[in-house]
Amino acid sequence: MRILVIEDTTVLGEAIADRLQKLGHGTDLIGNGRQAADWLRHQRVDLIILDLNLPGLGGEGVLAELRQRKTDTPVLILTARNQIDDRIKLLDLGADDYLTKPFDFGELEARVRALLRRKQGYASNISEHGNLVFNRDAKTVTIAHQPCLLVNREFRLLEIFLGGLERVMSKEELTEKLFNADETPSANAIELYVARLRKKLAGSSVQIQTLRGLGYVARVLPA
Amino acid sequence: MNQTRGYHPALRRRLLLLSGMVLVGLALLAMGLMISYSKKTADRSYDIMLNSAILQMANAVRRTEQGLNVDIPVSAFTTLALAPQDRVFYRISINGNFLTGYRSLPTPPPRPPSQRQLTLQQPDFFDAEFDGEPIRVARLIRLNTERLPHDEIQIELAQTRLARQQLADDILYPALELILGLLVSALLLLWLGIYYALRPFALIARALARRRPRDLTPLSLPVPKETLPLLNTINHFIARQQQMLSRLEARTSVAAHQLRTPLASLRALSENARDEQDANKQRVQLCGLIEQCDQLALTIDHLLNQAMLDHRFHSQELIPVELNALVRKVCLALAVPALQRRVALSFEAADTPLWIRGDEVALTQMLNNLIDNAVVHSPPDSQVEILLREAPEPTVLIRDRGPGITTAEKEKVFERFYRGNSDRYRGSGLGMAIARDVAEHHGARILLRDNEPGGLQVEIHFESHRSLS
Repeated sequence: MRILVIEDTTVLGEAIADRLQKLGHGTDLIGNGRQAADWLRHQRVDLIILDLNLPGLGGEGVLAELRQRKTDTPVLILTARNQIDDRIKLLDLGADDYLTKPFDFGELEARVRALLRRKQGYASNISEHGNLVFNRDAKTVTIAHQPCLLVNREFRLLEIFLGGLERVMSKEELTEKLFNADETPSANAIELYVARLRKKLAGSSVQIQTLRGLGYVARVLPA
Repeated sequence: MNQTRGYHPALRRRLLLLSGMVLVGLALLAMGLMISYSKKTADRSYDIMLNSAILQMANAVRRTEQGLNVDIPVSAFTTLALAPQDRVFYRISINGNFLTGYRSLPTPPPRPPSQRQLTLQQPDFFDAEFDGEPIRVARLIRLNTERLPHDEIQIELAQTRLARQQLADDILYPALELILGLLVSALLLLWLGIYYALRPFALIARALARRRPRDLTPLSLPVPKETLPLLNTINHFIARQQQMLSRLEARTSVAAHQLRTPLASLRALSENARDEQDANKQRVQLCGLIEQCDQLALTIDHLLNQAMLDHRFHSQELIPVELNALVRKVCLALAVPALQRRVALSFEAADTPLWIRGDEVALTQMLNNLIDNAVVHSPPDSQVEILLREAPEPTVLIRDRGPGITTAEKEKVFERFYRGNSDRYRGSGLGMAIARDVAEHHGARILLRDNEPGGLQVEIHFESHRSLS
């Protein structure tokens, strides 16, 4: 995958580029917002890691220019601002995710992976989550190359979970996504489906955790 | 600040204009009254003379063989001679026919109907103009009963107004002078009064403007008693600024220390790692380096949060906040980072909505710090429970299964940069202090209790605001 890092702090920029290079991504580093925006007119990348405080043109400006051209390249923002309002504004501007400085590389890698997977997922409809392979077209799931048989509703539930990894999803949210408006599922229908799915996913890297009073979180456990 | 900008009515000019207008209005009214009074008084005095003269003339009309005869006595005019400049005219008519005198005297207005007998009629008076001069006319109608049918005699006696005008002026002018004098002195006093009333404000403003920016001693000015509250308010405000500034200074110096220490460790660790030959040892040192970075990041975060909250405490109004929703939101935000530490959060809302007055940002910070503390000190694969209770007051409970805090330390953990048992206190040393600041700002209490069977239970007790729900 090809990644562009736009970061004017050389030490940090190079460290990020190095890290991504080691993971096998082709990585370019540009330290000026204006140059980066111009560069992006002629080059295609799979992911952009964007700092906000940039010389030439601010990160918001780079992002706005990009989105104006209807480019859907995922953008991960690096910000030193920690206010909730700022984050919401960034997501409104068309950022796909953000990380607050300082961050650890584990976190950065996870976000990069998630964003690239999302982009890939759109293209191929096959996604890998640890030892679990999810095939949207064939409606099949394999765990460590062994087929895992899921009924329709379980498959759909897993799809919802994989679409919102590392996010707490409330029962209400899941109910709304899993059932259509005409169905009236019982109060514990979701609990039953989650319990069944969890049983079938035993041994996979995808873990669905129950948080009492809050909802469920699906995570991909590191191998 | 923005509200004060824009329209600035000039108080001094407004006061002067308004009271000046009222004063001038009153003076004009008094002058009008004086003018009419002086004219009436002059008329009354001279009307008495006209009255007596006309009565004497009436008595002088006699019937003789030749017809009616008038023999005006000299005495009738002697009283009128008291006004030497004025000319006198008269006209006597019998039954509407001119008898003697000035034929061209103006026709009198119709008489108001009277109940009196015509023999006993008193004269009536009116103003008219004759020969280009204003005149005062007395008219008397008498019945002469010496023959039948009775003759109706109408006598009009007129006098120019020079003497009357003179008298009226003599009465009016001193009064006008008095009124004008009063008006001028009242306006002057008004101006002085306003000047003196507003002068303290100018004094205070000038004293404040002359100050050096760092001078935060109280103002002492010889302002009148009435403006003392303003001066006291300003001094109170200055004292608060002073207090904030000195707290800021104290905190800055502590913060500098707290920032330098991890920086020093960072540097030492980096140098050691650079010079270390043994790859394993180097790895351990680098891990320590990363830990120090996290520590420093947390300290900076908390210092910035503290400054932000300090500012909010002074600038934000407390507004109604629903605790169940707020705590749930904080839990949702912290749930995934907690899972990464293999700690599961569980949340239990109260049965009823819990409304309090609060600042959502500050409360979020407090809950963040307390829940994060609980997570950090929880053993792996354990649960942190967050519960809300409505009785007896809105309460948030945070229970962990960590090592707990000894009774002796329970109070100390709220002190800034306190580090007790270093196992438990991996942190900035500010989280608990910030939490307590927020609680105090909301009139809430934070209690630390032992959790059963082990661990810590943090309780945040808010004041009841039943009126809000």
